[in-house]
Amino acid sequence: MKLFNHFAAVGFSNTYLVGGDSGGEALLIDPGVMDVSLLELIEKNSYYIRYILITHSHWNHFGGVNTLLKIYDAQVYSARNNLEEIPSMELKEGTYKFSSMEIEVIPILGHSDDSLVFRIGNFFFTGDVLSAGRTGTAPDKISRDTLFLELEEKLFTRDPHGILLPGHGPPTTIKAETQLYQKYEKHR
Amino acid sequence: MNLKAPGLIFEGLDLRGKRFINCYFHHTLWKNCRFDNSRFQMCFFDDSVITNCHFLKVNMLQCVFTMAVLQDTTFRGSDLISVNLNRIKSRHCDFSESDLYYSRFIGSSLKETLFVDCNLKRVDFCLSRMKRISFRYSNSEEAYFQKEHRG
Repeated sequence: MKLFNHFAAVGFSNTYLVGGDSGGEALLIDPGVMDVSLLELIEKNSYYIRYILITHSHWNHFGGVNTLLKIYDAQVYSARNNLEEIPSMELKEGTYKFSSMEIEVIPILGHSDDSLVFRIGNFFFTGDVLSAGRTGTAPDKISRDTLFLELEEKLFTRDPHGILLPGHGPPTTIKAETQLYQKYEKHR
Repeated sequence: MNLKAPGLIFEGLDLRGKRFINCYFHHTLWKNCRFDNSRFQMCFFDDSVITNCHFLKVNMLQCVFTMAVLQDTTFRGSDLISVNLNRIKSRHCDFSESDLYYSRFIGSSLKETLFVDCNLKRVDFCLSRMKRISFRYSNSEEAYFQKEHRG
């Protein structure tokens, strides 16, 4: 499996490209923007985008989908059955197979009511629920408490060497975030 | 290079001008090594100890140093874009003349470390302890030092 990161200055968001070692069918996670550099990344590595996974329905995580669908015959997947009129297959908690890749879908609520974390191997694509040193924002105290509880139960219990790939900012590890959370965030 | 080398000790290596992509060096020890003009993309140095190493004019994107100990190490003149330096312990280190755009130093302990003439736009220093730090000629007003910046 090969993993690529694409940073979009618009929205400061990360898009992840995941595919096989020698091209072929690939998936994109959170294409917030579709631009020339993302297209080059896909084409230079001989990938064809067959699946587009969205961690949550905020524009800076799916804004590039319309353009992508004009280029590739791809299927969009998210927690909803549509994303502002873009048809989407609804994902629920569980494990799915995309080409040869097994993907675990882990709903984590609080930042939004449709946030999903995707696990491929030891990589966790966290969207906005957690980034390096920061838990996601939440609209109110109940949502914040929900987010903290969900992170504690569903993410911080995983392999501490798990690698977290957030929607914004640099990567991190479960070990680092668990410690930061216990030291600073939990008591905030 | 696409290496996995957790837990190893590296000493006196000359790795100048190399390219490191998706390398896993967590919990490693680096001593007296040179990485000048190298490129790093999504490499992991978390929990590592890096002593007297030279990362002069390196290009680093989306790399992880969280909880690393950096001593007498220089990153002078480098592009360190979106690098995770949360909870590092840095002493006698030099990031001068570097572009640190969108990098994070949350909860770090920074002593006698230089950030002279750096681009600090969107760099997050929240909850860091600092002693004898210089931000001279840097745009420190564009960095974050308090948690309230959270959007």
